[in-house]
Amino acid sequence: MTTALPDPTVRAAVRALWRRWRTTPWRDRLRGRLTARFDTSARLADSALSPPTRELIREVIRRTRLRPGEKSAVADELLAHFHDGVGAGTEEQELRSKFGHPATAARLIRRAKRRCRSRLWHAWRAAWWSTVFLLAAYTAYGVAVFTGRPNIQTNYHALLYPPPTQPQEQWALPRYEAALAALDLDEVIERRTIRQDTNDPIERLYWDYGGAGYSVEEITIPITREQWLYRTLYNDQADPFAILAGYFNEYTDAFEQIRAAAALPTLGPLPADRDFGHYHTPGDPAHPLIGAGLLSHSSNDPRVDVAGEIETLLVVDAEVAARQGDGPRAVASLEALMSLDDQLAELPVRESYLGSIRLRTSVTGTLGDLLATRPETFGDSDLRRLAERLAEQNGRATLEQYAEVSRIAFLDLLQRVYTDDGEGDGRMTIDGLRLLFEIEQPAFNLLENPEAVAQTTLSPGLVLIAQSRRDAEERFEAALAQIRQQWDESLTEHVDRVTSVPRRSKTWRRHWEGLRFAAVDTVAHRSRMSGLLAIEQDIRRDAVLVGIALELYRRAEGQWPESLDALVPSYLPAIPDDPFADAPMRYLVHDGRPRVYSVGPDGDDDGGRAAARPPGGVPTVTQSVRRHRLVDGQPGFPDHDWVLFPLAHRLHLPDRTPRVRASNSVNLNPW
Amino acid sequence: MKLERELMRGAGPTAVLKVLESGEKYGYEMVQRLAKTSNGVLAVGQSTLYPMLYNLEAKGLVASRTEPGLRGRPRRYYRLTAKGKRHLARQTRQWAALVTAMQSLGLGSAQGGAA
Repeated sequence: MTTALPDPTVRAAVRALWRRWRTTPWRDRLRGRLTARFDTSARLADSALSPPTRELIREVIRRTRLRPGEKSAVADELLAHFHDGVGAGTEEQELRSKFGHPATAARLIRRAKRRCRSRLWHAWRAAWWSTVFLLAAYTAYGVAVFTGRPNIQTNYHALLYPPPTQPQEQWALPRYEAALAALDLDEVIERRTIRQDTNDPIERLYWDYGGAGYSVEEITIPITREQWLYRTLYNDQADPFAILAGYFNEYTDAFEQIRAAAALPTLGPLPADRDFGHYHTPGDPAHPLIGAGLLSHSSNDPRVDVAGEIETLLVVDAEVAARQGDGPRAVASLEALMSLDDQLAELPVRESYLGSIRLRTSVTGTLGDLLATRPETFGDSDLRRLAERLAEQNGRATLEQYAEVSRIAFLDLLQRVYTDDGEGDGRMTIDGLRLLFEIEQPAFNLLENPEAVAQTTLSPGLVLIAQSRRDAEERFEAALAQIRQQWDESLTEHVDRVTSVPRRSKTWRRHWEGLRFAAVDTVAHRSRMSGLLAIEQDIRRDAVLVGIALELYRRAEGQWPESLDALVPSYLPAIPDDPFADAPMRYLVHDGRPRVYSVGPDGDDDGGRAAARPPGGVPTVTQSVRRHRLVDGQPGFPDHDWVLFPLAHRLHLPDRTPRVRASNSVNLNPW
Repeated sequence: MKLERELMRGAGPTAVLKVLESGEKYGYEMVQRLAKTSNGVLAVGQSTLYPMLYNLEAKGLVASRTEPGLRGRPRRYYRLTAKGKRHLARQTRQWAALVTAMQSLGLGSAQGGAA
């Protein structure tokens, strides 16, 4: 079988047609005319010049690599040039020899012709090359960034968590866990159907946090005893303790166990045979499960969660016992709370510190509440003993320990975030950036939940603007020194400082600084806030100590004292200072009840008039400063005092949402 | 004598503008005029004349138009623009000053060298 070759004339016609198409301007093509106006070859062929000259011109034209129209114009010009030369009587060979090298001519012509192009073309070209350059530089930098790795050399974890020295019998944690298990908190006591359009604030939380998903209208969920307990406490029941009394009375053995465990000297380590997820105590400091280092641990140490649950149970038990007239049990639970605080102080992590502040708030709140409403709960010796233990709590003193822990946490963070050049410097790494994302530094909110591709693409840029390891360390030390200075200032000084300095606006500069100094701010911000909490807790402690002294005075003298001076020194070593005045705390008797108060941040005595129920029942500096900005839109503070004893609110429950006990999962269920 | 490349790079465009001062011309005509009036000193390399013209055109100093020339072949004529005339006037003054200065140093004398 043979294949018929196309007719050569047909092939030539097709080729000619294609050639005409290629050399016709778009304008003519769109008009349906194949003008072949840019066909330089045809023009060269039609010229009267010799083949070498034509070849020279063709060579120059080809090498210019210009657009067809530009090539055509240059070809016309060169053809005219040689024709004019020949017309003037010059030999073609001489013309060629004077013309110069085709490559040089082509290069110069190309450069000059491109200069003649439009400004738009030049702008586009500049933009194109700029983009190419930046992308190339960014890619090269990205490669360098992605190859940098942190070098974890120091086991700060082991430094802060030495092996336990006490024998196992002295560990409270196993006993707490056994008691929690005995309380049947996981038992399902009912099944409840909740709808997505519920108005119940707690049920709303369930939907808002995505616990039930969003594709269904309603869902039936099991309610455990633990959820029932928290719902009863936090759902603004008229008297939650009356509702819970039956349950607490049923499990008195478990509460005895808890109180006994609180008397032990240490919480003890976490069981080595259990999986605690991100929380880990590996021998290898670079263990991947160590996650965000000490910072990650601080929010995941299951012991802090256990302590939080025990705290809630003891507070409720004290309130229930007081209502039943069981003073010794109420006092024992309050003392157990104080002991739990001592145990928690062993854990050198931020959460334990905040947990401790929270615990002390529970103690002062519950003790102050019972003292004001059910003073008969306490015997004289109980009050003296509780006052003695309460006086030992010193928020300011523990801040220094916390500062050191913060520094170690920061150094641990540095070695997980930066490379190490061996001389105390290094640069941010991608691993480090991911770590900072995990820690949920506020400055990264812009990139909250980004897609992985976007995160990877942006990461080199973020690494580029991040400060160096040495700068980070220096900035942290400066921040810590400033924070220490702020810890020493009085509340008056604090308020003056905060209200006199214009609040930093949420501008790009704030985000920029947040991105640059993310590693520092992550730790420093936490330390800054802790100082204020400690100072405020000390004020509450002082007020309750005055309350105890007043009660002891009343019992001895049969009436409230005329002034606080009468309490010193028999019932109180000294009258605590008013945190907002250079004077002792104020005191008066109103409706037959004593009232201890501070003049508050406005600095004037309003006769012990309290603010309308402050959030959480206790006025705080933060709330006062915030109100300072909101008083009729004018600078100033609301005209009222800080009533510190008795506190205005009814409950003093830990301000926390319940979480599951020692486990690697987090329970978003709000019950 | 031909000028060195660097010297020609500064003088060439001005020379081309000067040639165009008397009226519009096409490429080969300019080559001839430059070579003839300067006794070959300003003989512009033919392959460099056209890039030079394109550069001057890009700067707006000269403009061009295409006309049918010999045997109907298109021929491009160049002429000075207003901007080109102003530029040439400036260049002329500068060159005059330069020549005067060089002559005062003795560089313009027939023997050359310093006075």
